[in-house]
Amino acid sequence: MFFEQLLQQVINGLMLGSIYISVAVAFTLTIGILNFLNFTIPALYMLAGMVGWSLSHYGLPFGISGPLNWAVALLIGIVCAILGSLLVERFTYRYFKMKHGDATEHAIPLVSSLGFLLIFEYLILIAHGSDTRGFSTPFSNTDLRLFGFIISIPQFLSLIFSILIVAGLSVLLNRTKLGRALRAIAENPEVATLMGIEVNKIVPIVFVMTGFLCGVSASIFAINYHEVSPYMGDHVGTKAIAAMVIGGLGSVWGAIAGGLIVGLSETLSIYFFGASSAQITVWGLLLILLVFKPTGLFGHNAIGKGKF
Amino acid sequence: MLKVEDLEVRYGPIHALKRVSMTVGKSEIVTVVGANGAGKSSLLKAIVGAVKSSSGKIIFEEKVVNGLTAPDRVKSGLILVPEGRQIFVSMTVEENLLIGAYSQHSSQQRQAIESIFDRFKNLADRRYQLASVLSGGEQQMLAIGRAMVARPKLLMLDEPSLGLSPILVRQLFELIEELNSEGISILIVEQNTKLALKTAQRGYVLELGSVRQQGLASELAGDKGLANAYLGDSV
Repeated sequence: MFFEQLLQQVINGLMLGSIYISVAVAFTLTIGILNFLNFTIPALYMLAGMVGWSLSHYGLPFGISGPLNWAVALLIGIVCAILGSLLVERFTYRYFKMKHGDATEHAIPLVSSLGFLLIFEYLILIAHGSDTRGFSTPFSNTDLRLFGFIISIPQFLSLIFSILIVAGLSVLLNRTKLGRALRAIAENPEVATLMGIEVNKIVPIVFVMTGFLCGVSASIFAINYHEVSPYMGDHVGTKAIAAMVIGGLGSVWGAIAGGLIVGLSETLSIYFFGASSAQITVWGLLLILLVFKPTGLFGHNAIGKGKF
Repeated sequence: MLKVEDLEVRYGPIHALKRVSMTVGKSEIVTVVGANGAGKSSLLKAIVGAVKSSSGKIIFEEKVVNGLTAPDRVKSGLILVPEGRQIFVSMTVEENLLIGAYSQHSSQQRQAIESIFDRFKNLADRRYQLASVLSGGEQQMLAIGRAMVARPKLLMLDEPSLGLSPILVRQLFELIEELNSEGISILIVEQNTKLALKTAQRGYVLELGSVRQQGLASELAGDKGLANAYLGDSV
């Protein structure tokens, strides 16, 4: 009985981890290619979820339409996350890069991305309050019983989907012209420019990907857990950063492992020690891992540039 | 082919280039020599658009290119091999060449890359290896190969002999002459002044951001005052 319950928790943990994977990949992409820890990522995730909820609950603003179909609402939510991400690119990364060059490479974009995080979050709080909102989809009861274990089909599909997205990203980075350009920018943006790569046109693509990954991940969350809230980004944000570091900065495959490990340790920790223990377990694990392997599980030796 | 008129470059309070004028003719090899910090690298970077010029004109093939971005200048055939080679060590040899051919049509990319592998057999053998495992000489070959696949009309080399053994330096300059005989104009910035002046047809001497002397390379090489100031005992 105990082992069956434990195994059920392992399954739940892996499913939860699939939520973290996409967000962890979003973090790892911006840090790997641009050397920029983009703190707005949790807000983009929340934005997609809350915009999706708002559209499926109220419909388009100004009475243009009634409540939208849940899938359409989430799609528009994803688009909003992408647009929000481009806004961050324009006014944190590009703006400071153009004005001040590399001298401000780390701190100022980081702090201004934190500013965007809070602004997005409080705009949503003003618009919709701080309550957790129910998000209903036709998938409310689609659990699959397999050998006595409960596997939620949407969760299982989202795990597969997350892994497919990462696989696609990996192919993009390693096999395509755009991917090579991104890796060249990751290693040395100045020399990439000398090769004829239009860095200012390609960097926004990273932010489009970031917004897309956050939006998809938030949609998966909304479909699986039937709820969204203005704080949903904060919960996933810290876990995704932990997942990224555990997997290794700049490693997209590491982000999968990291996401699953974080999801697993979170559910097991809650099962054994109660709800408040999750963060202690996740971050304790991370700190112990870093002592033995500072690059994370799949990170390269070089910390800084050129990690793909 | 290339005409630079009264070019000025400033980095904040530092005045790196002061009214520098120079030309490179069609199929010519021109060298710019001078001490460290004379502004040689700044000149090349300004020509390719990697640093902004504060005034002056850069004219390439009868067109003022000041307003073009660096990638657009690359498309028009102005290619720089940067100082210290700066190959992408996290990529394979072939990927480095693909990046070099970035602005070429994909149909021409393959052909351009194969011709580099024909020219440099060592690189062909290491095609799928990471560029980080290459020796210094091979890295320089790759850096030049990466520039060649971009089909340069004017190839600029910033300190190409840096860190290479004397034999490799000689081979490098033979290669430069070979490329030149294929019709590519060449602008070399060098610390190895003697060899640069031997290879080039004309030369400029930069001092503290200004052109101090210019003329036929053979005359500059024979200039006593210059020899004492810059040419030293370099090989």
